[in-house]
Amino acid sequence: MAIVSLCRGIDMTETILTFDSSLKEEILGFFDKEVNTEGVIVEKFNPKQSVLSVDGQEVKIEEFGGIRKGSEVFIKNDLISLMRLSKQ
Amino acid sequence: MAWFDKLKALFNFELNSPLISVNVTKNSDNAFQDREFVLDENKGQLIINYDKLNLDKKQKLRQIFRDKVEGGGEIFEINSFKLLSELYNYQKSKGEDKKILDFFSSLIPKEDLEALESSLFLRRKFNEKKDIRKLKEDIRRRFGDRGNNIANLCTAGYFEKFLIPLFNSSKEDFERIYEVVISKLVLVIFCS
Repeated sequence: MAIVSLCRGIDMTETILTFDSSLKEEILGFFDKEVNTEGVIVEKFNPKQSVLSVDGQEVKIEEFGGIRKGSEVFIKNDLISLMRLSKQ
Repeated sequence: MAWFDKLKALFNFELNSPLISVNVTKNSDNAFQDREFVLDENKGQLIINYDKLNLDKKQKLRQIFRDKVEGGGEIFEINSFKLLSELYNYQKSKGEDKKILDFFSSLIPKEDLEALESSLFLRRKFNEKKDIRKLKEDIRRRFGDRGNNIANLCTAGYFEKFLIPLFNSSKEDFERIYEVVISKLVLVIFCS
């Protein structure tokens, strides 16, 4: 899968849509994703294909922080990933 | 129909003021009792009780989430969004931290600079008496022992109290000593 570059920041004036951490798997299901036995988020209908973060990394369920448009780029929840996002 | 209009139609509510946030939660502490949602107009918050929704409403909620993302928006896990909000605020109010980052921006490797920026934010949260354990672990995971050392040195003020004066005193000494200090967490005491 191609690495997608973020080219704009988050629009903080729009209504924010969030979900509890306990609902991660349900929300992933909304986007036809699931978690494999190694805890990696993958395509439900093609489990060999893992989703990618902004920097082209696999995303584990515990790292899952959000999703944005752009081939559904997955946002990781660690400080460094969110710091980069805050500077877009 | 835009995602927000679908949301209003799904839960049949109207608002007289802007809705700032929508969070979907599990009713783990039974705070909702039997309600599908709680709307706080004063705070501009809608909280949806996922457990209470029937299958049809869950399917519609699924489409709302998809519409939000496909329409160019984002969805966040709530704690990630809270951290992101704090980071946005930090970017707007860096103050002295920006001076430190600007000082080192052309002097140290790009990764070290990124670790330093995260460490400065960590330090600010530490000073605010917030729980910083996950933030510290995030730095260590991304940047390894080197990042961990940068975080420790930054929290103790060594970048501005030692490394900046060192550079201003002798660029050559800085270049010799920086790598040793950062990679090995060794502190050098000069005796005159």
